[in-house]
Amino acid sequence: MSSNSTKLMSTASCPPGDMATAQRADVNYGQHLFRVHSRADRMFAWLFGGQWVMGMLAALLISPETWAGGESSIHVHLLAAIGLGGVLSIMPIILALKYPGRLITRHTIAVAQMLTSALLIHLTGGRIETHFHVFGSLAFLAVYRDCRVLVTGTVVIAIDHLVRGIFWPESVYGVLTATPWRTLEHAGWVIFEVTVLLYSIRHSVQEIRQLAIHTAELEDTNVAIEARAMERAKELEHAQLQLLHSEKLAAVGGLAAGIAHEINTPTQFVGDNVRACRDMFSDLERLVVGYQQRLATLEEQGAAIPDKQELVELIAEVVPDYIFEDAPEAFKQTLEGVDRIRSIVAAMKNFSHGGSSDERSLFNINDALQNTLTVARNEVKYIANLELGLGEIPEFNGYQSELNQVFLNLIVNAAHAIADAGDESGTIFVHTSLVDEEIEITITDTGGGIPESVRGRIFEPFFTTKEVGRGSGQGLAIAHQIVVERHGGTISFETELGQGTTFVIRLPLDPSKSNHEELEPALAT
Amino acid sequence: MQVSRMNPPGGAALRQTQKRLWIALALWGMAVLAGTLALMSYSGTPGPSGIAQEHWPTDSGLTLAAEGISIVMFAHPKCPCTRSSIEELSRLFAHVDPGSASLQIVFRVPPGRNLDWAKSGLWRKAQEIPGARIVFDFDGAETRRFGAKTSGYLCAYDAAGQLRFRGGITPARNHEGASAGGYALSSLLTEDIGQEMVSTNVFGCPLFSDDEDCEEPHEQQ
Repeated sequence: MSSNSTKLMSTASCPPGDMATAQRADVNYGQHLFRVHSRADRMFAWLFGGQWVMGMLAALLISPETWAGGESSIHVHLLAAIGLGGVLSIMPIILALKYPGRLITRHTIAVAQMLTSALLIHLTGGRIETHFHVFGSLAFLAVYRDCRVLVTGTVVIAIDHLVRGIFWPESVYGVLTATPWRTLEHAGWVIFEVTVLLYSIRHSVQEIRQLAIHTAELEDTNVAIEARAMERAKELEHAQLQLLHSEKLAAVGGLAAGIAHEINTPTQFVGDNVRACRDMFSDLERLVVGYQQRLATLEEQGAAIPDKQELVELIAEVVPDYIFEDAPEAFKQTLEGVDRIRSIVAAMKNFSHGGSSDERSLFNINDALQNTLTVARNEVKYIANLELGLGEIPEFNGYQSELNQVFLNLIVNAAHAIADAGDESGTIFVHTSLVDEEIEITITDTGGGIPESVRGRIFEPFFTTKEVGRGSGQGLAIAHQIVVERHGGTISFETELGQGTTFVIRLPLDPSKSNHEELEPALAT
Repeated sequence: MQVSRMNPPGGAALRQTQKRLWIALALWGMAVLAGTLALMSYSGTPGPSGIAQEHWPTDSGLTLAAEGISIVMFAHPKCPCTRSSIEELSRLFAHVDPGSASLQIVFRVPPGRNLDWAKSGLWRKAQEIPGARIVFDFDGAETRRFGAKTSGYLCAYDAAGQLRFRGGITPARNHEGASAGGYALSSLLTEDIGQEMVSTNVFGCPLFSDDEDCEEPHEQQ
């Protein structure tokens, strides 16, 4: 008693994505047909109920009683309408309500419906009008869109006509004698209708099939769109957070530039004052030493020195012997510290205000790299060693502050890559050279390399594998834009998992020979 | 749209359900077949034909036509099966030359029933037949005289008073359509070639109850 519908039901709960499209198309097809069959079953349940009631009403109206002289009793036709009509109708009604959509249900309904037609034809003595019930019933059965059901109905009515045509022709054709041609003629009309219905069913089923396939494809598209939308939403959320972080960094950067400017001035006079103090201390030392030497000379000459003892003790107390040994070193270290502060502040100022963003200016890329490394020192010094190989290169005409940003991004990325790899003895190599009228800057780290799955996306805006706050996802995108679009250069990378990554920037000295074409990254394997 | 689902029972439960369903279907099929056969048997079972007089009874109040065929139909006013006979008769007389046949329809009124009771739908239907004479037989004398026992019983005499046909003109109870009686009567009316007397089955309600005596008290053949 299993049916295709039932089999397909077992997989009907699988959501899109868990099954292939074709499989889900099958499931959709089965579900659609199941709904069609179930709906037709319910329709026939009502139809059988209606036919039963109509049969009883007709019997009650036409032949309620049978008479024997003056005595009457219930007519057999009324009893038959109630009893036989009930028996004929009750089974398809039960099946339609209890087992909707099953093959056995619709075949039973087909048999019962055609028997109802046969009974009606018999009761009317083969009235031609009642033969239309057959055609109507076949049209109703076509609602199932199942050719097998039509075949069952056709076979039942054909057998009925054939048998009754032979043994009791007046009950089916209304004539005393009927040739086999009469049966064939009736069968021909039925076959004509059934052929049209089968053709219609075939097309209808094909349309249902197509609809199921389209639905499955639409489900796939929806899933893909939803996934894409979720991915985009995540990216947007991430980008929003990064934007906030970037704005915060920019604010901090602006603040740092201001602070650097403010620090520069006191650092200047602190340095000057320390130098003045150092000179004054040197004079003081000369005075004390001279004074001590004069005291010694007077003592050797035997001259009387009043309050000599108090004077010696005062000098020993105020200017101890070690002060002239330690103080010069202290002044030296202090001045070194001040110079360092000044160089850092100068680097920060250069980094922040290294030329206007709107105009190109001549500058030395090696100096720019030095400044950048000074600024990034804190980010790098606890993670990796720095090895510089700065070659002889001419001054470059470009946007210094923007290139500073590029160098900083690449150096910080290199430091992060080494930190992520857990390599405590990592190294960042920075090299510059002149190659074919282009300045080539290579920044190499000994980190873990870039995974193959993300190599194609690292220059995409907001793409990052770092957690929020550590990377904006814009560093390489901005670097790419600055190098390629602003300077006509190229930026590429070579990477090897577990070995590290090298970013190569090439900047043409002559902007007219710029190369705007984005180069595919040369991937090392 | 929510798909209504059944939970197919599995394994043994499924087989058990299938077995029960097949048994139920088999019983249903047998019940339908038995009911149909019983109904067909009832439809095809004729009532008592009765024994008509071979010659027109001279004591009858009915009229024997001087020319053509005289047809007398006996009917129960309330018999639903006789409606088919009236219909057939009506159809037949629509094509018969009025001069070649006369028709008298005798409604046998049971004891205790009056004329109003007897003027039923069947009576109105009978009145619509052109040239038909309607007679109410209250005491049942005419009905007994012609040996009618079943509603729809019809006998036809020629002008000489010779019985030419007796029986019914429907194929089964409450069934219109072609029948042996219909063909025979039609042949008698349209192309009387002097064939032998024809007798056919009658399908209709009994004209007399079991308590009544339907036999003609005098000579019968």
